[in-house]
Amino acid sequence: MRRQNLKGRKLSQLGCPQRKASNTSGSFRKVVSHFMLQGPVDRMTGSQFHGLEQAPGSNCNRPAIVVYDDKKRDVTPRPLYIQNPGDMSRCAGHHFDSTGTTPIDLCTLGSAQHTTDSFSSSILFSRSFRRSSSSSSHHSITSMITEAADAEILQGIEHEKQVQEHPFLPDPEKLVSVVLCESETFTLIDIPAVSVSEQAPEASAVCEQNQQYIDLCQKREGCNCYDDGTAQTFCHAQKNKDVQSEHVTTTEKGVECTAWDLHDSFQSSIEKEPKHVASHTALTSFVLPCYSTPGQDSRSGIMEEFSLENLWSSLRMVERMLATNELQLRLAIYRQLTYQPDDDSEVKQYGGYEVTPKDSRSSTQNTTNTSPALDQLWVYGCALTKGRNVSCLAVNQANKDILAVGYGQFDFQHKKNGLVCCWTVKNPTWPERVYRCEAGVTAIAFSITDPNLLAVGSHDGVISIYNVRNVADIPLLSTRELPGRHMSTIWDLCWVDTERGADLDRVDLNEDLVSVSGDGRVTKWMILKNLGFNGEFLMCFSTII
Amino acid sequence: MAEVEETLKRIQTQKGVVGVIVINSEGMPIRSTMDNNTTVQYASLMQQLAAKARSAVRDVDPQNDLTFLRIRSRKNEILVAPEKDYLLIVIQNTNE
Repeated sequence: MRRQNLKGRKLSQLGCPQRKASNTSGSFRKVVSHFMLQGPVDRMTGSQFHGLEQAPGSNCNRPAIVVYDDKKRDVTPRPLYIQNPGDMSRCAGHHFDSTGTTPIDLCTLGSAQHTTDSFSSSILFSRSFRRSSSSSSHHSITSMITEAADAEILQGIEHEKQVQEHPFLPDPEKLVSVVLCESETFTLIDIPAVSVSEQAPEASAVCEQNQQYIDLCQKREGCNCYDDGTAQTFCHAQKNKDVQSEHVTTTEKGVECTAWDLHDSFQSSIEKEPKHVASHTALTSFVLPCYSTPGQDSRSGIMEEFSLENLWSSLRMVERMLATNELQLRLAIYRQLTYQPDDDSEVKQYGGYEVTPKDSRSSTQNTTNTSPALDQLWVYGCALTKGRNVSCLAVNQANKDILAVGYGQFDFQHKKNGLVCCWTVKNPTWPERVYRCEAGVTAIAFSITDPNLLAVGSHDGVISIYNVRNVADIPLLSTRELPGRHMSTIWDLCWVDTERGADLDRVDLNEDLVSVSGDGRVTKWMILKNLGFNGEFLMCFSTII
Repeated sequence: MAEVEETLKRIQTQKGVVGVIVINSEGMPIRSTMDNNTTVQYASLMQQLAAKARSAVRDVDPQNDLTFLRIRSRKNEILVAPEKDYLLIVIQNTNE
């Protein structure tokens, strides 16, 4: 868009009411008149429509129609709506007439208003303003602009044009600085008040005048000084003029401000370093097909891929909850709690325990037992463990709900894989942890000082230590490669307290692992700091059973 | 990935489970075992409820956060696990 040199341009005006008879196409003109309103009233009554004439100096596509009355005064009706020059820069493809006679009139300070669509023309022969790319438009000076404000406006518009080089493709990255400055104060209307405050200095004078007038009115009746008389005033024809303005666009914006919202924004603003999200190696990304059930609509083509480390833990938690919902009565019996069923639940009796409704004093009573008997509460079993032989058990010392079970064969003809399952009371349908071993598991023991550690002894003499926090199948430590390992079945494992030695290589575990094996050796194992195993031979049995 | 699928299957076969729905952060169901209408209804309702519950919890203490939401009704129980980028809904029938 060309830069416009605004000063000294030739302008042609469209029907600006002129009190002084002068030519229309003049130089830049300052008009101190009111905003595009009332045509000169006195002309409307007495003048005649003289005719159309081409406005001199304009050779644009559309003829500029100027109406003169018989006194050669310009009475062209002015349009209802005059565009701001600041909006011209925003018009799509709007360019100025190449002949150079297109005026740029300064209306208000270049306001960044969204221009409306075309509007209807005012009366008869004035052109309709259209914002098309090919037509040029004329503007007229509409607002009152004083001398001093001109320079400011020019500066403002120039600045705006500098800023908006490509108004339709603003660079989103570029920082645009907009200078807002205050213009001079325009006084539109100044109607002095007719009443005066009581505390004003002239209040007393005004009061006196008022009083004098009141006295005068009262005395007027019989006084000869004043006589009534009538006078006639002119009743000028009135003309209505409509004004159209740009639509003021308003938008509403509401924000719900909560305490945690403020907290979050504050936290994010004070965080400097980027967060490092540790991703679970087992589940980094997961692709879920959409709508696996049949008969769905066409959204099945969308595949969502997002990291689901939390989904798995949520699923397992939900699984436990679902199982405990089923087990509620039995869990209550197990934990020796009094069980209060809901009014709608139908569990009334389990085994020898009868659940009575709430209004009785004790809800579980032993009713039918005469001889000692056992009621089975639940069974730990799943598809994984079907057909396997349970060889050893261990209960976690820290969390008594967790039971580690080792599965392995006792008869040595069949070589089968071993399995270690950590079951929890809250879910008897599936174990929490499943560790597969190469050989059958024969001994298992939880550490006391560090309840995460689970020592597993297997049929081929290998001792492995698992960390039950990890889900992966890999043991933390293993004696498979060690030279001092057992050659035969590990029959028992035990964690034994030790004294704290001055040995700095050892992990400060306060416990050692003692194993008894079928090769007749009892070995004490110590865990070194570099995650190594060190075996110390304790004693030897001469006969092996 | 296989573990998640396995766990989902196991949940579906648990006793009394009516349906499992996983919706993403925009509220669109990405996994469901129920019909479309029920899924969409549950998804929108639970999402609003979880948001409201979380807002309530955090309003009291902004450093706290909602970990689980459990709605027990006469006929069934709805378990909602809200997370940052998804929402897991499981409906279980408690009377059988």
